[in-house]
Amino acid sequence: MKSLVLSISLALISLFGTLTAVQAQEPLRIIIDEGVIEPLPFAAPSFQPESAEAGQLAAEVTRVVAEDLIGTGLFREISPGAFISTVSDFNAPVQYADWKAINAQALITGAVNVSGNTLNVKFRLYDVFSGAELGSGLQFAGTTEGWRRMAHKVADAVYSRITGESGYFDSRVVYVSETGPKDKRLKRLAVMDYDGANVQYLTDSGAIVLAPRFSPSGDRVLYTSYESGFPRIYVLDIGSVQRRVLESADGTMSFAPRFSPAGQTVVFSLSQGGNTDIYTMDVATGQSTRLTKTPAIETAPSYSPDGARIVFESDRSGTQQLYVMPASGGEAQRISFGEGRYGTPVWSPRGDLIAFTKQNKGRFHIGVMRVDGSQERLLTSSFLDEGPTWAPNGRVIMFARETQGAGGSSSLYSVDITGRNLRPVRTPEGGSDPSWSPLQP
Amino acid sequence: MRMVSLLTAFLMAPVAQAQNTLSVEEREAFGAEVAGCWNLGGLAEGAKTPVVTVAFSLSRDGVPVADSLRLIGTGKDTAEAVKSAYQAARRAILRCGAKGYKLPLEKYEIWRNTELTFNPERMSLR
Repeated sequence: MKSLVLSISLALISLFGTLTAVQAQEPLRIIIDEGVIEPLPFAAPSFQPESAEAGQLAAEVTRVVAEDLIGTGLFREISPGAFISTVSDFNAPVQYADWKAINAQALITGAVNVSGNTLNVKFRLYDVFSGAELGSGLQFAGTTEGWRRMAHKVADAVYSRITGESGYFDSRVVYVSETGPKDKRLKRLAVMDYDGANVQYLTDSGAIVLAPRFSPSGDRVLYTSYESGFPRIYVLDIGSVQRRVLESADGTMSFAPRFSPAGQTVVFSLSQGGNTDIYTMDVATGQSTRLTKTPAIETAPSYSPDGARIVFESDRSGTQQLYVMPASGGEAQRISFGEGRYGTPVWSPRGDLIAFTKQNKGRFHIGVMRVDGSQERLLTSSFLDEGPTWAPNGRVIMFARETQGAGGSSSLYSVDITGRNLRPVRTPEGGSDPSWSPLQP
Repeated sequence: MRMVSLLTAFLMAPVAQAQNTLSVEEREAFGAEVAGCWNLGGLAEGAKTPVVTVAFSLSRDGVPVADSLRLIGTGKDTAEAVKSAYQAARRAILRCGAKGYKLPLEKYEIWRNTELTFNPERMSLR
């Protein structure tokens, strides 16, 4: 009997023990499906000058890094006036508690060294609440004249580490600079940093210029000029500012050019005998191939990033709509079916979206849609918005906005692909037809 | 006498189990505390942020043990996107738990080890 009781006892102990052990080992599991969407607060104490000449530049680099991040709409800078700690040594331990107290979720520290014309900028990024560095410290070297690029590179690295996507700050934009009244507007090509700094003019205003487009390597620009009296396509080397015309037959007009992703082919529109179709041209040999053969006006071609397809606009259905065809030509698939007219399509560098201009009920919009035409989303609305171009990371679109009336002017704006963060881009004069470069090497 | 105690303990197990789970209200309150710090604003893709599950331990005062946080579950997203989603989740857990989550101490063994799955699909602002 005693043996039986003992056996039952042991069995119960064993069972109970097993149950409690299982319960104790099982973690609590909860699903979090709501959060907040607000700019991430960061602190960027002024970078440390490591040489006597670096003082001013250190402050300016810090300011540009902060402005880049703030400009995305994804980050919010904490005013230096709120800082509890100061960072007086790039290598000193971070006082996390002081940065937590002001709710800085990211901390950017840096140092700047100037030696002659050589500039070195290094930085570290900290995840304050994790109490750890986010990635390793990085250093960039350049010239003092290129200090803004160093700042953009730091900002790109910070953006990339926090968002998980590549940045777009160390990039340039070529556009048409505009001055004068609407009926006598002077236009010339200009190139600038993505934020409107460092504007350089590439042509004079002697002839109308249109639609400049960067090459995939960012060293050349295609554009259309009326220099000869008719629209002709030119290719311009940014470094030397040398240019040459892409030959086309007499009596034709060529315009709306864009490079293929490999940079060896140009796709463009050619108008002959009142009909406009899409052609490609081998840049080296000048040999051209006709891709569309319809009586409609077909223009504004843009390659997919893999070079396999081309999106373009055509009025073959009776109204201006968007179509996608193989890069070698052939049957085109219409992808736009909403109300209004669609034009100037541009394939996203990620390949997932197509940006476009839409005109409907007297208003112009910049929008995006999936490459099959689904999930159309209008990002802007105004008297006249047109000519979208993608940031290298496919997150932001720049475009031109013209204001109404005889005194109206055109200027550049940017907006992200959610339609948030609409911002003017500062240029010294008016601007239109922007084209964003790839990230600079 | 010992046998009686053991039997009593076994028969009382359901009651003990009730003590061994967090109530719906307690779970919701804990989730809401973390959600208040889960900021997707710094992530470029917002709603497309990958789903991540983070496991961690908490001390008796409800403070997450920073060294214990680890990523244990993700979807098929890019490594960079998962990394950023994990960092955002990690920030949320540590930031709101800096002064200790309001959890019932008598149920410490229940929440001592926790796994939080961060799923942004229902986030309203896109």
